[in-house]
Amino acid sequence: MTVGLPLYLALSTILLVIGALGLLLRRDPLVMVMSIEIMWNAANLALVATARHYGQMGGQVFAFLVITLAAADVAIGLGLIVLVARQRGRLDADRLNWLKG
Amino acid sequence: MGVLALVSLVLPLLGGFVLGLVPGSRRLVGWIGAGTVALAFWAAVGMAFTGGMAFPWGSGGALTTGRDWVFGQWAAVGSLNIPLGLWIDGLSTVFALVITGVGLLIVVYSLSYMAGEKERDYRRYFAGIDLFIGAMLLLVLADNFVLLLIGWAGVGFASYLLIGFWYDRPLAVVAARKAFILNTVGDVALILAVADIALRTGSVRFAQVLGAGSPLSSGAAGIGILLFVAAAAKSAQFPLQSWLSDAMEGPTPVSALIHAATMVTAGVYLIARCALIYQASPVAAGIAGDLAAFTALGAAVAAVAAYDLKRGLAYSTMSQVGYMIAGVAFGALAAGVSHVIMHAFFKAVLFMSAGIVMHATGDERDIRRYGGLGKHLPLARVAFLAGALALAGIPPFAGFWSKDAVMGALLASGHIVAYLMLAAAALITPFYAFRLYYLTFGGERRSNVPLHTTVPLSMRWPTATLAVLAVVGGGFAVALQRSWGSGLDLGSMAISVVLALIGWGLAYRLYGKGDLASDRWLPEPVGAILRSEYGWETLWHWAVVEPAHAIGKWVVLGWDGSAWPAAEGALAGLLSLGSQGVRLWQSGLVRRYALTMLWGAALLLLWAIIRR
Repeated sequence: MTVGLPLYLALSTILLVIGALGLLLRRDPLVMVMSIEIMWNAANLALVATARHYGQMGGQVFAFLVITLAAADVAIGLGLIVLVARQRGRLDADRLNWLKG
Repeated sequence: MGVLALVSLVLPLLGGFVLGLVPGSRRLVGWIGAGTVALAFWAAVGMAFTGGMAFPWGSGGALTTGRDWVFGQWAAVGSLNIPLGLWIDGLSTVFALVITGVGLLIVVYSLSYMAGEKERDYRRYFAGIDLFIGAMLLLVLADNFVLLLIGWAGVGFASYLLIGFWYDRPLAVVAARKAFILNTVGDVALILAVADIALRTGSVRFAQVLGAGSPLSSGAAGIGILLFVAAAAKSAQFPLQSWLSDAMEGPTPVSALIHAATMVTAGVYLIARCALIYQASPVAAGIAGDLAAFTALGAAVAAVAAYDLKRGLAYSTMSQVGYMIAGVAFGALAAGVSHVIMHAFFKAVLFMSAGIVMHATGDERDIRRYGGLGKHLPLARVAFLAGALALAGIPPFAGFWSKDAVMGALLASGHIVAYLMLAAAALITPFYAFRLYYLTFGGERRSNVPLHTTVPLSMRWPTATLAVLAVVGGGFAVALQRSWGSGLDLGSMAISVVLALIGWGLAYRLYGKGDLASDRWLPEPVGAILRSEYGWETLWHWAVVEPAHAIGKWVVLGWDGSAWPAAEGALAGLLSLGSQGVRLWQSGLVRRYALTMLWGAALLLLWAIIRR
C-alpha cells in the first residue's frame, strides 16, 4: 500500500492549521515559536511530498532552505524569549507591547 | 542474525523513548532501563554465536566477510540509494558486545548509585542511558555512512544530556555544552567526509564503498584526514580533546559509560571500519596514527599531576584511546580493536571503584582529601588495583595482551615515531595509575569527613565482575587476535613489560607510603601547567573567545558610540514625523499581527487561485 499525494497534503494542511491555531490562541511565546515550527514543517512536508510525486528535486532542495530558515527563526526567537524572560520575569505575548504606536 | 542485531539495536532505543515519555515508579524505571540493555546484550551474544565473529578485513583493509542485512529503504536521492540496513561482521559484533555487556554492568551499578535522585530525575537518567546505548549500537551496526551518522549524532546528543544531568550545577552545564560543541566540529568533518565519499563513489554503503575493488583508492588522503578529525572529536584526541576532562561533571556511571563503552570508542570504530582508506593513504594514516600517539603521551604526562581522581582517569582514557587509534590507523587492527575491549573492562572498573570512593566520601573527588581509604573500602581497593594493573600492562592482566600488542605491531611494521611516543607513555602509565592508587587507598586519611562505607549490592557485583574481567579478560584479546590471524609478538611485548615495571617501581618508591608530600618531586609551576591541560583552554580563550569579544565590543562601542547617534537621531525624527498617521495601526498585540499575516497569506493564496 502506498500513501498518495492527497494524504500527504491533507496531513500538511492539518499541521498548518494546528500550528496557526497554536500561534493565535496561545500566549506563551515559547509555545508560539513551537507553533511556528509546526507550520514550517507542514510546508516542508508539502514540498517534499509534491517533489517526490512529480519526481523533481526542486521541492526537496527548497525544503532544506526552509529547514535553514526555521533554524534561524528559532535562534532569533529563543534569543528574544530569553531576553524578555530576564527583563520581565514572566512571559506573555499580549504584554509584549512596548513598541505599540 | 540480522534480526538479533535489530533487536539489540531497537530495544535500548525503545526503552529510552518509553522512559523519556511515560512516568513510572523507581522499580519499573529500573526494570525497563536495565532490562532492555540486558536483552540487547543477550541478542548481541546471539549475534556472536550465529557467526557474527568473522574477520572483517581482507587484503588492503577491504571489507570482505560482512553480512549486509537490509530491512528497508530509507531515501533515494537521484542515483544515491540509502537503505535501512545493518552490517554484521566481527568488528560490529565485538563493539556491540562491549557496548551492551559493559553497558549492562554500568546500568545495574547506576540503579543504586543514582538512588538518591528524585524520581523524575531517576527516570530522566535511565532514559538518557538507554538512548546513549541505543545510539551507539546504531553507530556500530549501521550498514552505510548516513545511518552511522545518525547514531554518531545521537551519541553526541545523549552525552550532552548526561554530562549536563545535574543542570543546576553551572560547571556541569558548561561541560555539557563544551562536549557538544567540540563534538559538532567532528560531526561537520564526518558529514564532509561522507559527502566526499558519496560524490566519488556514488554510494554510501559499506559494501560498495569499503569492499574489495573499491573506487576509493584515489582521494583517500582527504577523506582519511576528515574521518580522523571526526574520530578525534568523538574520541577526545588532540587537538579536540579538551571536552573529555570536563565531562567529569556528569554522574560517575556516565563517565564510566562514556569512557568504557559508548562514546570514545566510536572514533576507533570509525577508523577501523574505514581501514581500507587508511591503508590506501599512508599520509592520512600517518596523521591519524602519529597524532593519536602524541595524545597518548601528552595525556599520560598530564595525568601525573592530577589532583582530581576522575580527571586523572579521564587523561588516562585519552591516552589509552590514543593507543587504539594509533593501532587501527597503522593497520594493527586486531590489536587495536582488542584494546577497545580490554580498556572497556579496566576503565569501567576504575570508574566504578572511583564511584564507590566518591559515594563513601560524600562526592569528594580530590585525592588530597582521600588517603587511607583501603581499609574502609576493601572492594574498591582491590577493584582499583586490578584496574590499575591492567591499565599498566603488567602480565597477565588485561591491558598487557592488547596495549603491548599494539606497540609490538607498530614496532614490527616500522612506525618508529609513534612507537617511541607510545613506549614513553607506557612508562608513565603505571606511574600515574599507581600514584592515584597509593594516594587514594594507602597512607593515612587526610580528611575528617565521616565515611559511608556500606556499598549497595547492585554496585558491588558489577564492580567485582569487571575486576575479574580486568584480571583474566586478556583471554578475549588473545582469542580475538588469534582468530583474526595476527600472532602476538612476545619479543617486543617484553620491552614494554620492563617499561611498565619501571613505572610501577618509581610510583611505589615515591608514593608507596601514600604520603601526599611525595608530590614535591614535581616543581609546582610544572604541576600547575599539567593540571591546566598545558594551558590549552587559555590558548583557545586568546585565539577565539577574546577576538570575538573584541569584535563585539568594537561594533557596540566603536560604531554606536561615534558620530552615528546624531545622524540616526535625525533619521528617526524624520521617520517618526512621517509615521504619525500609520502608527495607530500598531496595536502592540503580537497575536493580532499574526492573525493579520495569516489573513494576508490567505488572500494572496486566494488571488493566486482565482487568477489561474
